[in-house]
Amino acid sequence: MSARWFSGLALRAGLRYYRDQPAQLLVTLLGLALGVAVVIATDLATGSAERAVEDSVRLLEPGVTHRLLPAGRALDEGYYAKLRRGAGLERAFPVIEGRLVVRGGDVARLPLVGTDAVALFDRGEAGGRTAAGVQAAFAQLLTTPGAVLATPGAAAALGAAPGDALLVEFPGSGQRLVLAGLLPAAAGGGGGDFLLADIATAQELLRRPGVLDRVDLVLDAAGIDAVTALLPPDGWQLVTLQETLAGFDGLSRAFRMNLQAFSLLALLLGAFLVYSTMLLTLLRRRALFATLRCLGMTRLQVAGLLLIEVMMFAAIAAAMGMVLGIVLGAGLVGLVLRTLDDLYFPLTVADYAVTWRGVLRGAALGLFASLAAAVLPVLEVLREAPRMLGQRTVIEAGARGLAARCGWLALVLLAAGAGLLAVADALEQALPAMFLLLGAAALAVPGLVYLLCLGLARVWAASGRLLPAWAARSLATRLSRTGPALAALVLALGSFVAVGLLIAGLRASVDSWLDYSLDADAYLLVDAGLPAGLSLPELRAQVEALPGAAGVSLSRRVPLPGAPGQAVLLAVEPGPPGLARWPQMRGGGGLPEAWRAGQDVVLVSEAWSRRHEQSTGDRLTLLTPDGPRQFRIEGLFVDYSSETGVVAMALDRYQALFDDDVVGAVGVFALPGESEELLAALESLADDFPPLRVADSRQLRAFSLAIFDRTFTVTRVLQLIAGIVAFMALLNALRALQMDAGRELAVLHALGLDRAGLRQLGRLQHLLLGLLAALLAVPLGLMLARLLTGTVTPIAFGWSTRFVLDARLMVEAMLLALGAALLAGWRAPLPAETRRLSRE
Amino acid sequence: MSERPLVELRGVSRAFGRGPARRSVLDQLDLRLDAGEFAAIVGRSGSGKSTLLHLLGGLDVPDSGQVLLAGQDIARLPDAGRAALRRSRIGFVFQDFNLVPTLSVLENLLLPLQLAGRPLPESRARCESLLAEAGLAGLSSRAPETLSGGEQQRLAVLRAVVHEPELVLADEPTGNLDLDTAQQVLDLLQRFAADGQRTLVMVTHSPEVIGRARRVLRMERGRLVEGGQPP
Repeated sequence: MSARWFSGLALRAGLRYYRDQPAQLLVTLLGLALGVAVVIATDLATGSAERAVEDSVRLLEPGVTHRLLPAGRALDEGYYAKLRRGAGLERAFPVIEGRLVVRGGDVARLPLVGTDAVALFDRGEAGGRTAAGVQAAFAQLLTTPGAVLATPGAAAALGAAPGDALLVEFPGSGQRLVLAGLLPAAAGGGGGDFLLADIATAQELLRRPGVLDRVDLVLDAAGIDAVTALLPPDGWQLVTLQETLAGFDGLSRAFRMNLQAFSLLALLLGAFLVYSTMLLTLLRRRALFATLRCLGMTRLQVAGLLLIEVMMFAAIAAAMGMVLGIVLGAGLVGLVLRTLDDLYFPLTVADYAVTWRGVLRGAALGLFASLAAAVLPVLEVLREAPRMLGQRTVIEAGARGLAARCGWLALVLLAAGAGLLAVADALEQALPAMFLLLGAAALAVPGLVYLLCLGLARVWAASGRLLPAWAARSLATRLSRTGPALAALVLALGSFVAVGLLIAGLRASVDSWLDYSLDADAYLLVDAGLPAGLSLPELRAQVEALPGAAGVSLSRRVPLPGAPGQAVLLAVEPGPPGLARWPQMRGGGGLPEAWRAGQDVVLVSEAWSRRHEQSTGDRLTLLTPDGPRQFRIEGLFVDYSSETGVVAMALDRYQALFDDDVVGAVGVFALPGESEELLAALESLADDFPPLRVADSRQLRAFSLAIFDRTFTVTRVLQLIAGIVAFMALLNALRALQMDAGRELAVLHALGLDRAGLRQLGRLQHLLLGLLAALLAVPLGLMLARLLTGTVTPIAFGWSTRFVLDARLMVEAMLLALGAALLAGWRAPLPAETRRLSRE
Repeated sequence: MSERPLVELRGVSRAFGRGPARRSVLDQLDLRLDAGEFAAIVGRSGSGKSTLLHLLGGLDVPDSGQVLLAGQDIARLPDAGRAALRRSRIGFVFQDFNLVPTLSVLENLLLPLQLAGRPLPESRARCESLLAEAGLAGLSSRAPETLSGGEQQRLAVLRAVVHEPELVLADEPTGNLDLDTAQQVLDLLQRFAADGQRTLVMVTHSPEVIGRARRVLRMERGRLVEGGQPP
């Protein structure tokens, strides 16, 4: 008769153990599920966002191959007509985009896409792919004044049906529209919600007459040659769609990697909880394993049972994580898309697609992390001969030996992490380096806790306070139970502090940047063009003559000629506060003499400098209408408006070289105490000269900070999850203590310590544990924050970030640890052994 | 003396610890036990009694020497081989019972049979019959911790013999029991394990057990000072 490799009874014996430890199991399952959920949610959210970007790019024509982008000056719509005729293009779509607040039955802020309705109609006729109803709706765009089409979602958001009147709301006025028809949900390859109008209607609605944002083109080789031949010699760019997407990929890479790093951290913390629980439950069941071995089970059979057990729990946690991740991802995708929309790319599509690949990848990672976390405890249990299994001292001696080995390994990881960080110039190196340092911290925690507890125990024992000394020593000797959970707790709290400090540092940096980049009291926005019959010098004279005006600054912001992607050329004439305030030079304020002298010099942002490895004294080449021209870099400045970089030059030099006399904004400076009066005068001026618009500097500043806060909402959500995991880890550690100290507490009880005394002793241990965790987590958080602000953020975004020592965050971390400790310990039941002893 | 003993130890030594702390527990020990013998191992604490029992059961291996079970050196067997012996030829009874607290009384008894690959219906019938013989029939679905000490040890004895091993090893099985209960457990052990077919080896301090054993092995400082050779 052959023996069985698997015994259902033995498995049942193991699983029933958890029936008595539901809290322990629940905390572990939730911790792991959260880790899996964050991985899945991040994956789904970033995947959906990337698809949204691609769909946005192909919104009007799925087959679009190229884009014509403005460089140096806005696209003139007259050129589009010339291009369409001259190059014989049939599939060219001029585009203007923006957002509008529209009132139907309900009010909604929706993207508006304006394009050539004739081209759309022709495409439908030629391709035969457009439904007859939609084709009729395209025709209405041409024939009905103020006609717009809406996706079904946009129509629903507006509470409107075809034929209904809509009202676009402007401050103090409104403009009527007609909802001429509905677009198919997947119009043009996208599935999001937007309004579509003819280009003329859109230009009018967006108050940008005669201007195009781009032209989407479907070109073959002959078409490329034809368009290239017709390109005006002033820096217009024809880029392939792949270049556009590649530019975006590069931009979003840092963002995606940051999210993935966070999700991996969450999973790591979940794995720590699994490790902690497995170790604890295995140690508690050593007698069972010894018995099973005595009854004839082999090491491998016991290991197999344990791994089946782990896989079962991991599968449950993964299933929970999958559901939670899909739900969390739906929330996250909105945040990610808003961030991408704010930072990188105007998005018109916002679909959340659940891909099984992403879900299964997260679940598989969860299973793998659980197995990896369980391997060490299982090996530890199986290493000893069965006769040794029941002996606690062997276990603890093993755990202390392991803590010592972990200490050495921590030093190795610390050195490796620091070394990698020292040479890191890309996120691919910086993030693994951070994880090495986190690993070092996690490994060092048990040993440090051991030493701290023993030290405290000695101090208390020396002063004759034996019970507190027992409490501290008991924590130290239960290292095998508390160590892993404490490591998870310290990591989670440390991450909580570090992320909080990073956000605080970035916000402080952006705040001070806004101080000098928005130094005027108000801005007159003229990017939609100057009013008819009013030249820039005339406008300037009128503004300077306004009551309360102290002076003006002028700026023009255009895509950098000759650099496909999102880099920006900023031409600027600073205002009266002086050259010292803007831009802020590294190592001192002020603009260089060569700038004022009209030489070919530029300043570059930090992000540009890092990406292109160019600094003061280097030369960069810009594409001007007269061909490539070299500029000397005179200095660097701080800028948070672009990750790809900003190149700044004197406005008069830009106008001379690029034949572009348009300005984007006129900054208006008020005399002291007269800003309100000046703002009112500016509003009045803008009303007289549409399409001029006025922006209050304070509102712009608030808007910018709101965008910043939205950008970091995702990070804050993940920070919150780290906090929750920290709480769970602490509960896990405390539960371990409660379960384990029962016998000793029973003895103390028998020796005369009453129940109140036992509870107080328990609370002292809990507080001690929370305090030690917080004490270790705060310096870890500070160190991580220093690395994030000093190394990782500059690498990821090209931005230097201030290190802000926010005491509030550290207090929050302490309160989180101590509060959780108190909460868990306040009404904690006395261990079973004590109750049994007291009954006897 | 039979030609081939069931158990034979030849020059067995075992020490624990490292360096200066290394302590010899068994020293060049020789022993023969025939089938059907009931031997009591006595001696002071630390004399090596339990270590000897662990070596006999394949729970531990000697540093040197041979531990032969039916002529097979179990010290040379891999872990899986020794586990297979415990499944089929050896049964254990411990002072602390070591029942599986998360299995019922019946399931505790079924476990060795399931590990040995016996069919469930046959196993269940055998377990129920044994429980009835031991006076535990009405307790099959109870958790072990709800039983009295005597009942738990009787269950442990049944578990040690349920798979009909040739060698039953008991480590102070009455050490935690009062005199009356100890008597009941010894009766049961003798009925099932010292039935003339199985070999029962029991570590004990109890004069009652010593009085019942056919052979007494006295140990001192890792050596057998009495009863090393069969009578």
